[in-house]
Amino acid sequence: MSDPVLARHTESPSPDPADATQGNTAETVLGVTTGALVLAAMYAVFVYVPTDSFQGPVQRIFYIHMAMWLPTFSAFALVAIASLMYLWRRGPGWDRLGRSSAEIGLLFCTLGLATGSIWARPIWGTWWTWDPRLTLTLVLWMIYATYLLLRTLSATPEQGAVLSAILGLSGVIDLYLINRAVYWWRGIHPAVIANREGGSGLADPRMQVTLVICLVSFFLLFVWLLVLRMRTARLQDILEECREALARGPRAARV
Amino acid sequence: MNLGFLFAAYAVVWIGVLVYVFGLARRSRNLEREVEELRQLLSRRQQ
Repeated sequence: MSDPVLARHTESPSPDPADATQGNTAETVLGVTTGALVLAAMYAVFVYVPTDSFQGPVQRIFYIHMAMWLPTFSAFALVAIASLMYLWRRGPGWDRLGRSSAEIGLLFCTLGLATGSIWARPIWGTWWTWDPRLTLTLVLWMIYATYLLLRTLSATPEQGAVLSAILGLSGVIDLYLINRAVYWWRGIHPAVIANREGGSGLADPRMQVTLVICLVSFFLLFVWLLVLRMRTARLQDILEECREALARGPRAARV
Repeated sequence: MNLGFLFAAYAVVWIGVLVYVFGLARRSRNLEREVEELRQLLSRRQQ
């Protein structure tokens, strides 16, 4: 075998414990812990926490709605870091982290927008309104949807990686604007954790506990999904490397 | 009571997460199979 890429990937058909393409014990422990915490979160939301006297049972949507945003913002912050590092170092690992985070961030962002919309219908009387925070979040969704689309639309994978890294880096500005939107502009989106007057919108301590459990459990779910997605991305890269190496070989036509 | 909205919000999240997880698992399985096939093909060529 003269090609080093082919040699590297044909050396051992059996799984290496340190191989990033194989699942391991830590991954299983993370998955089980996440599952248990998510169940605890659902118990807290539907059994432990008291019903809000003003909004009624529909206020319980708030806990899962909020839990979607910590993974979303973490994922897009990771995309920005990975994009910066990719543009600087051009390491494939950074690109894998960027595209994996963007995909999972987009999932949580979609679910966050959907749950917000479902909550808004009975409370605001509308599914959607062009409130500054909502509009900026929709822009965020579009930025990262474009980030992923660029990869499929670009002429080469390298071009797609560079263009999407530039876009991924610029998304940070929108993240900051979303965070400040409820304080800078008059909108109807509530500031619950720390309201405009400086207090908390969650009066009952059980509501605060439930929110923390939801935030932690869905953040762990994000980490677990990211680990799984990174492994898939690694497999995709190995496959691409092997195909390219085979195409360079004399018998490429037989593959 | 608006219980329908409460049910819909949680259903959307769990359906979304489950569809993604199963999709990812399927993608991963297919890739593992393809990588393994390529490895075997390359090993045969090496011999």
